Amino acid sequence: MLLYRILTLVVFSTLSSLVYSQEQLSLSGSLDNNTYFYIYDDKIVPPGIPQYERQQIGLDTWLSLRAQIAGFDFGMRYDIFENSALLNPTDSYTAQGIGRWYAGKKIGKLSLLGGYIYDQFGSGIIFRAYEERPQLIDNALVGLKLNYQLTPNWTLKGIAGRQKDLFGLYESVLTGTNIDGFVTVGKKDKISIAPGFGVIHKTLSDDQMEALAGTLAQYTPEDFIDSVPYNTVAMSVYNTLSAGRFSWYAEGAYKTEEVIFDNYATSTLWTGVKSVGKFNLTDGYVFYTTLSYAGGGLGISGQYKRTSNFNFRADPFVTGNRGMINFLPPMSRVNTYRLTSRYAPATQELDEQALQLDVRYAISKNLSILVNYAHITRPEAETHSNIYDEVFTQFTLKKPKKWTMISGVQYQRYDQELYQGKAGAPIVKAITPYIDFLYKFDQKKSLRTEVQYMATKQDYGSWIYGLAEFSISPHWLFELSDMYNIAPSVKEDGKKGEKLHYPTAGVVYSSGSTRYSLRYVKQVEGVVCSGGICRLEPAFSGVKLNISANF
Amino acid sequence: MSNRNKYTAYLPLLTSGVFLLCLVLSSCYEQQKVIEPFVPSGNHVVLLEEFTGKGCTNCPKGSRELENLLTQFPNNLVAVSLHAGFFANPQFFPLGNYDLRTDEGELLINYLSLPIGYPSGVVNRTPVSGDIQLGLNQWASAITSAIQVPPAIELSIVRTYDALTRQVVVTVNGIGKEVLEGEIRLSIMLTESGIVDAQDDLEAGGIVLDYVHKHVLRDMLTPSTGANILDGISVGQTFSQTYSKTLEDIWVADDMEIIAFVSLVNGSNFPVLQAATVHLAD
Repeated sequence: MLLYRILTLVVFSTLSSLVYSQEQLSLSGSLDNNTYFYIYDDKIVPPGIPQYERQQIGLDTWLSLRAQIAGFDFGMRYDIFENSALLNPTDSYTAQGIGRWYAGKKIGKLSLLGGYIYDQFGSGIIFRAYEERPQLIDNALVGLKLNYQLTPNWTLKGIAGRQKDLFGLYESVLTGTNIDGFVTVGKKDKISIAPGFGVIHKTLSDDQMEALAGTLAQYTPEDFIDSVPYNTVAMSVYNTLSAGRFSWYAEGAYKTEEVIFDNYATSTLWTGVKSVGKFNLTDGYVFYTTLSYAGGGLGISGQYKRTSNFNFRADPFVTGNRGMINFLPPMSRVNTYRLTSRYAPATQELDEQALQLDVRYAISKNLSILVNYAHITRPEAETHSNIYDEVFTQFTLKKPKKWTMISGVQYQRYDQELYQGKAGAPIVKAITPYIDFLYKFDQKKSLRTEVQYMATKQDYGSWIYGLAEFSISPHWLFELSDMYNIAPSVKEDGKKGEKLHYPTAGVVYSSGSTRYSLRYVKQVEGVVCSGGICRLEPAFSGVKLNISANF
Repeated sequence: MSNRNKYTAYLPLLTSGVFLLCLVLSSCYEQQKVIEPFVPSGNHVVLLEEFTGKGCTNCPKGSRELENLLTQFPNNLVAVSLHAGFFANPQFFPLGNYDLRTDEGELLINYLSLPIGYPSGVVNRTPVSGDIQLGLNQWASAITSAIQVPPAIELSIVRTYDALTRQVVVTVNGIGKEVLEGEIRLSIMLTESGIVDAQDDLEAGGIVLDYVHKHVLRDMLTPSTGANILDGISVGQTFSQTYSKTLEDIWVADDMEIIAFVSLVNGSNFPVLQAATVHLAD
């Protein structure tokens, strides 16, 4: 607390003196607030969740302020979580404080930034510090970043610090450096390459090592690990080759040996019983590449990724979306419709091979088609090896200034037992046709409707979803939707599930860069994913208020 | 480009490359942490409270680890499985014949904070890195750390059990080994093993109808968060507390254990200082 007060004093003193130097001060900020009013519904909400039982109202807020003057850049963000369900969906989390601060300055070729840093090396495979608020991912590096412009086309970056853990820090120390460049070759510079190389060095603290040693000391001789390194190095080399209409990105990453938790490895207990899940000493690698072509109305993109033992965290005991130092690119399409996004495959850190192909063709100015295919496997697994397939098609037809129709079909094959940990759950096979129709009455008024039908016999069974959005530009938007379990599946006890409605009704008002949203929501439990990072969310019943503003 | 300009252009790249190499190579030479098998010693008995439920598919893994730890630390660990919370609720998981929840377990899961994930357990009611509910991987290291600390209070349990009346009388005796300030509370739990009932078990492929539940909390002889017996203790100071209970008809006395433990309560901190256990029946 004292440190924050001193920092605030220094920042504002500096600002005051700079203002008097007649340099122009630029102030800006943003607000992102979510308030939840919980209304218990015994048909969809499990008991024991404190927000429904006794707390009634929950709140997540991020308030950012930024000041720029004379080449200095200062920022601060205040985070508030009151009875929040973000950390643990079945419990409440209450905390508040300064979630981020930073101070930066450019001095000639050198840019320096101290405080909470968001950045990445290459595509983020070895290092990515970012935030994803709906999942409470905020793994900023707290420390120092230096950027040096070696030449106009080459940049050298260095970082050092510790990773943020809610309002604290993980104990491990991270240091790293990254060099990026850009080179044109050939006649008329039609071919360019953008190579890069990065390395991240992690050192466990003595306390972390003692905790790890305490766990490993109990392993049976079959699983025993004799020694554990304090340090881990992850390095990657990458390049983007652009030649005319082609673009090819390739990245290879390698991580030296460290002790990581393998969810699927079998261990032998002292009782003689086999158990699944143990710490392993292993190195890891990732190879990722995308090749794309765009021209003449045709766009083709192919991606391939192979991952082996690339769990890279600030603490060996954290799991889920906690303590991630890096980011592995997701290998399936990011779907946006309610039913087509219901089963999203989480990125597998330990063993994954994935292929994705995306083809788009504009037949004319008003008609285009898209086909996307994704296939994900676990090559080293004896069971649950073929874990995800998706075929997604989309047709877009428009009458300019009048209406736009988007329609298509999605097929998914999703290993629910692997992705969601539901023992004995069968593979979900779902076919989902959908249609999205936008009609413009005039320049100000428009109506958008969506209808989707998910046909499946697994999990909850089949669903139908309908949405109507009426917009009065530039301020108002009214929304009404319902997700209906039209053909519930048969449960393990032989009974059919109940046919339930999950309606939503809302209104949005926008004025300039401020947006107010008020929605009554009933939402079925499911997986919420963002960039391949997923978590299970329980059902929601209540009212959601969102206010976001930029100033 | 002239030679001098080439040199100027490539020198920063060369310097960067050397720097990167240093960063990479610096990890090649280090004194690694040698792992020695832990052999428990001393008389500190640690308490592990595992939270579970018949509908919790990951929890049997925790129960297997609990047995694993009891095998390794037979004289330094006592364990109880509390069926509480969402996954223990038969309204949502109507499995088997028995509702294994207790009022005490439902209170304790909130008192000790809800688990973020399962399996989850609390070791000596002491947080590790700020979290009191620990994942399965953290139990062993938390237990070995606790075992190495000499207990601040020593405990012993004396019990008599009348098979005809099914009444058990429990006396817990204690003596202070250190000066302590704060509220000292005594908790006494009755657990039962060998309860055959259904359980969802991911590693077994789904619902196991004849799963053998162990160390299940059946009742407490004290209030759920403990009975206040002393406000501080000095070296050599003794205490003795006696409780009695008539067992429910459904409980099998031969499969039951008595667990007693003392904790030091200071606001939101309530670490367990020492635990003890005996079989209920001879």
